[in-house]
Amino acid sequence: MSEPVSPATEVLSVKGLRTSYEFRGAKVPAVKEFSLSVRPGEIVGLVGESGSGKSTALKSILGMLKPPAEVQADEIVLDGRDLRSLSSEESRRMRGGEMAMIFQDPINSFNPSWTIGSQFRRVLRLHRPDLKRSEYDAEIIRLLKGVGIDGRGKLNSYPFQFSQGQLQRIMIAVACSSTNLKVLLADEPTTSLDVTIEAQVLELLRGLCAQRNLAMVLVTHDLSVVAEMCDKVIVMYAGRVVEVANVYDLFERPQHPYTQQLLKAIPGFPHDGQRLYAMRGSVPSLDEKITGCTFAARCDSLLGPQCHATAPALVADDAGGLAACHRVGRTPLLAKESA
Amino acid sequence: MPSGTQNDNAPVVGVQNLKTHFPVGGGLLSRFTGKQEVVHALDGVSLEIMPGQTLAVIGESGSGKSTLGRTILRLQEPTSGTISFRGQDVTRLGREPLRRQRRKMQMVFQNPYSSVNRRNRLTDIIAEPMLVHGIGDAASRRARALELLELVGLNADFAHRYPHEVSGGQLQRVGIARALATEPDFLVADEPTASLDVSVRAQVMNLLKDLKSELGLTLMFISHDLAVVSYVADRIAVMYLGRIVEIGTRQQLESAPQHPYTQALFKAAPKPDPRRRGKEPAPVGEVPSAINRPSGCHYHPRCPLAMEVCRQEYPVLEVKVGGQQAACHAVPAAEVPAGAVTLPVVPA
Repeated sequence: MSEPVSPATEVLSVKGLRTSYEFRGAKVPAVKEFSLSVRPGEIVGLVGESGSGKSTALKSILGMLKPPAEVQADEIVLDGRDLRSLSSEESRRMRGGEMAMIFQDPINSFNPSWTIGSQFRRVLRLHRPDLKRSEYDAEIIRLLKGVGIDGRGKLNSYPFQFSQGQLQRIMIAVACSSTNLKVLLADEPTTSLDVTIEAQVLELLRGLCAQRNLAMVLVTHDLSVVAEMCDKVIVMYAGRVVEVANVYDLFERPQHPYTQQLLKAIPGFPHDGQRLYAMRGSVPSLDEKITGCTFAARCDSLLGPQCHATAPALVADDAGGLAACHRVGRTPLLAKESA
Repeated sequence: MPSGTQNDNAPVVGVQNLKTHFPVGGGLLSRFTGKQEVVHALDGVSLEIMPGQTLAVIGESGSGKSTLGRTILRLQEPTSGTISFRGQDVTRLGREPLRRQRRKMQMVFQNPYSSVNRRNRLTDIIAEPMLVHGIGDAASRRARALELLELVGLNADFAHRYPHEVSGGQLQRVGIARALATEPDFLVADEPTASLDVSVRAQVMNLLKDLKSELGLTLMFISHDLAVVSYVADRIAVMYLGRIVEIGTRQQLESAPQHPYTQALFKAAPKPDPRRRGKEPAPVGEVPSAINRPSGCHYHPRCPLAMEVCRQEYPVLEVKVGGQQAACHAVPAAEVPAGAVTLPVVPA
């Protein structure tokens, strides 16, 4: 059930994505192997630590990366159209039209010297040909109301006159302004917010997706946010997808040792006083040449020399998802419990 | 010796009615009107930290938790109130005596990269406080820096590396080693794990906890991450808009938080369990500006229990039924039998 292989229904499908940046003349691979599919109304979580390539994958999908960054893929299909074949004018309309992005830091996502109203109107001019100029302000107020902000009399205010939480809501309203919107990409949308505001924004995003049947890809490093929001989860490590599972399986029957260790590393609340499980080592740097499994150096469930010799492929696992581990397919799975 | 009495029952750190206000604006208009706006970052905080104890300070941005840590170390001058360290009043200590006092009180910062000199090697970074305080000679400082590196779990290979050659978690260990270089009694750790990845966070938390018990440190741990706080804290103080709204032992607060804000904070924290999703409605409202704070209890515009008195008077911080102190009109004080006070009905 958890593996969505019904291509007829998916609205965004990415296969074989590889992205590299250039650093001091050398190519640095940030995403080595990435695939994704989302259906309307579905929230897919993209989890990983810094350097896992999750944000780069998102930016590659939206076509935000310019040379010398290099994006290659077998396909990036949005609602039947391959995005790589679009002209620059067409991609401009697609971005913000059918697929929009919400960024982590709301303060730096707005131009500080333009009023909120003028920035919003610019977006409507591009993505709402159905509206007359005179209808813009009424529509902005309606959109702001949808995210819980009373915009009356505030359209001439500047970004600094709003709080972080309000700006994040405004950014969500801007992202959702197109009537044709199908996919929402959210890059750590609540990381810079306080917990009480985070809860509000998550509630808002969940409501919007359900109400407008939007597909959402939610990038986060926080597994608690994943638990609150997502239907399906993609776990990335060092530029590769290591596990794909539905959210219940991910938390109850994680298949990849990285996922298992990551879950173990989250302290519970209230804490029982037990010593925290700590993963050894740290995420390898992007240009590190690793033969074999990239997680082998930190893995508590090493199988043998093959872990260091060959990189495991992403294959179907026993829980109905996918995992890239030499243990997958062999039973009993990861029975070894380490303290 | 300035360190005073080493009584185990005396608090290591005590603050009384501490206030730190930041004037803002100061533009042309305010010069004419004579009105000066003020951010009340700390507005009358009193607390004590006993030897070997960890006090965690939690709260959202703007609550004043970082200002509290900085003011106690006098990295920030208080507007009024007193700070005492090992029984000695350090509020008005002059430059030189303060510098000597600082040997015994150190800080670990949130962002390891921005709190070190990137052009120094790791051992030099760790040795710097010893240099500042004139401890030992070059050779002994180097030896001590190597010892400290090992203490925080980094081997001698790291000694000659530069900050950009190590990971964030490793650099945060260096930040901790540096704070320990002058053998302090008291450490303020301001969100020391907030910029670290989940898999590395636990390493640093365990290290801090181990060091605390090994070296008998007294710790003030500032964080917004409840799970992390729950792991290290003996006592917890909850701050809202410059004041402590609840303070007590970890067990008291976790088993029965009394202040509505503490309750909201605990409920709002996302839980790593998809089966509990959407069980708790998100709290309403936002933290108001610290310049124009709401009248009475600053929390009343967001509070489900707010009554008329909450709009008028700031509640006193008093011992409540659970044994902890909280500042709330709606929660019965410990002396009053619980039955005698009628709680307003909470709308479901």
